[in-house]
Amino acid sequence: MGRRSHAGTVVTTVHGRPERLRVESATTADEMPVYLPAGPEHVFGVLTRPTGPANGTALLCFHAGAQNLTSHRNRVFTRLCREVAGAGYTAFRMDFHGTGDSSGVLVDRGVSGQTMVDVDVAVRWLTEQGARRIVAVGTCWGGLVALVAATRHPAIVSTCLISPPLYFLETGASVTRGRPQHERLSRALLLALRPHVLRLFLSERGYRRWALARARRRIHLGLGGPFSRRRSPMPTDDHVKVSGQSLLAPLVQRRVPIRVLFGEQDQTYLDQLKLGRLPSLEAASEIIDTVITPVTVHRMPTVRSQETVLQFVRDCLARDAAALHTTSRRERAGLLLDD
Amino acid sequence: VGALTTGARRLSASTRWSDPETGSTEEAAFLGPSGRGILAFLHRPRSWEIRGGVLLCPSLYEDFQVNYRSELLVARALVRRGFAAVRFHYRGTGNSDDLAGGAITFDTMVDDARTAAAWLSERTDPPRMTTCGSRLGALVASELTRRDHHGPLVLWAPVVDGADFFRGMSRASLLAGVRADARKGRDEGRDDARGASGSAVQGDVERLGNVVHRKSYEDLSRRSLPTGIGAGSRVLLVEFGLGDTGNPQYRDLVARWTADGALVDELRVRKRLLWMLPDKWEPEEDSPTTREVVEGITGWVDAATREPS
Repeated sequence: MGRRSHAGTVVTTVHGRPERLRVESATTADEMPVYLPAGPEHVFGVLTRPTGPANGTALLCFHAGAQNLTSHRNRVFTRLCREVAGAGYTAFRMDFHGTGDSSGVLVDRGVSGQTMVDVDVAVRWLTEQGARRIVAVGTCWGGLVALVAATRHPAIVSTCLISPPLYFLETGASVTRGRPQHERLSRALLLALRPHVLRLFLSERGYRRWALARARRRIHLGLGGPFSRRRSPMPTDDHVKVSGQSLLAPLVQRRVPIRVLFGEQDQTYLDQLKLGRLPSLEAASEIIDTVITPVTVHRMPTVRSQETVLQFVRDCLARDAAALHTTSRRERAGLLLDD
Repeated sequence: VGALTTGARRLSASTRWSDPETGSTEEAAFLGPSGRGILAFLHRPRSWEIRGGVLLCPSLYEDFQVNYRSELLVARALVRRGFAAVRFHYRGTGNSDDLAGGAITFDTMVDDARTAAAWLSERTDPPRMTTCGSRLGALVASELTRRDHHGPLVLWAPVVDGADFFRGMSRASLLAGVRADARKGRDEGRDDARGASGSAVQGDVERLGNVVHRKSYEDLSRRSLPTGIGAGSRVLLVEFGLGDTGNPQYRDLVARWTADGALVDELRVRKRLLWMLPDKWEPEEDSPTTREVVEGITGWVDAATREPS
């Protein structure tokens, strides 16, 4: 393992595959599925209780949104949560609204609005379950969510971000991307008038019924869409609309470690490199630790990349535990924390 | 059931929730003995008079995730029509327990489906059971229909032959490896593509970021949809494809089943069959083809249930 400087942050490069911790994993007997009320939505998650003495720390796992679910690809989050439960952690893997088994529709990538409501209730519930410290783990877009969540909740004491699109912070405007708009009416009509569509429309009763229902829905959305109850409201408190520096400032103040894992060929990483100097990250360089691995970790496409991610999180937890141990010893010795 | 409310000022969390608009409820539970638990979801309508029950059998590996939200949307749409539905994760997948030895087999899949179906029956006592299987889950659904339920059967882009499923997965895996190589100009993607061509599997292999155990491959690759489905059986075959010519395997099966006296309906959806999660971020709820599948399946189940059994 080596370290090098990069874009104002400490970069650690890793090669090879470190040893896995040998701990007793949890099973479904130690878990509980749960729906949390989050404003108008209900977010689903699975809580894993510690199988040994609880250490007061909870792991909160955010997937990448879109087509993901709590267990994540090849059960990476299921495996992670059950493994860390053996080491005394409480763990919670959750679906955002509109993903996995949650209610609603995830209409945009804003790290704000309903998404932050989802996260707020998860953090609140974990603290109600006895967690004194929370480590937020997020992959891709979930990494951004973890970062923003850490700025909002003092209970989050550390973050592990897997291939997050951090360059979004540099927009200084918004990480929101609007949802794809419906086709224009003229284009929709052109599509509907294609020969095979017309043929289907005339010959298939079921298709006719579906097409008419779709047209009705389109009209309904056009007229009543903005007032529809089922769609979560568009973001109103976009915290990322402030600059990246001010976003990360509370984390610098609280010295919350931001540990980032990138594959050197991850698109998220390459995009960040293209931008060059990233002032917000430079301003927070003292708390950011970036690890670069030759393995692609964005979307965890291979078993090797999944193992790299799991080992990265294990390392983060070990470092947090060591730091906490040191702090406790100093406190017991009666030393000031700022010594 | 499972209420976790512990005080007026605390968050009211629960193992189930109720949709205020429709009055339907969704409940999650781990079923089965300790160490062999499966995660299952029960969707039930507001009315106590359940029109029927629907068991949704998912696929495996990457397919499990690709179709996940669509299956949930089908369950919710069924509930709006007065049906109770159950979804579940097989052991060794999603949030269910691991399997001893790690290998998913056809028998473990069928056992888990039976566990979920039993929960549905116990909780809702449906007058009639429909079984729906997507992709590889179609093999499980057809097995349960033949042996247990004898009700309507929905085959959702079914895998006709287990060996074909692994061949398709291998090809997609190889393609993913080639794409990764091309993108990087190096050979990192080979991990994923290793051993991906051909059908001979020497040991546990990796396909699309999932481990396929040798035992799973050997067991599932010799399974196929039955050539006879029984006279009077009601079947909906949902086919995905962009071309005008249908899948010849489906045509053969439908011809045989119809000759046997089964009543088979077909729903063709102009949709590309996906082996991997798409890159683009689009809610399934907004996808016209997903809506077509959801409406097609729920409408057919509704109609089939009205017919005398």
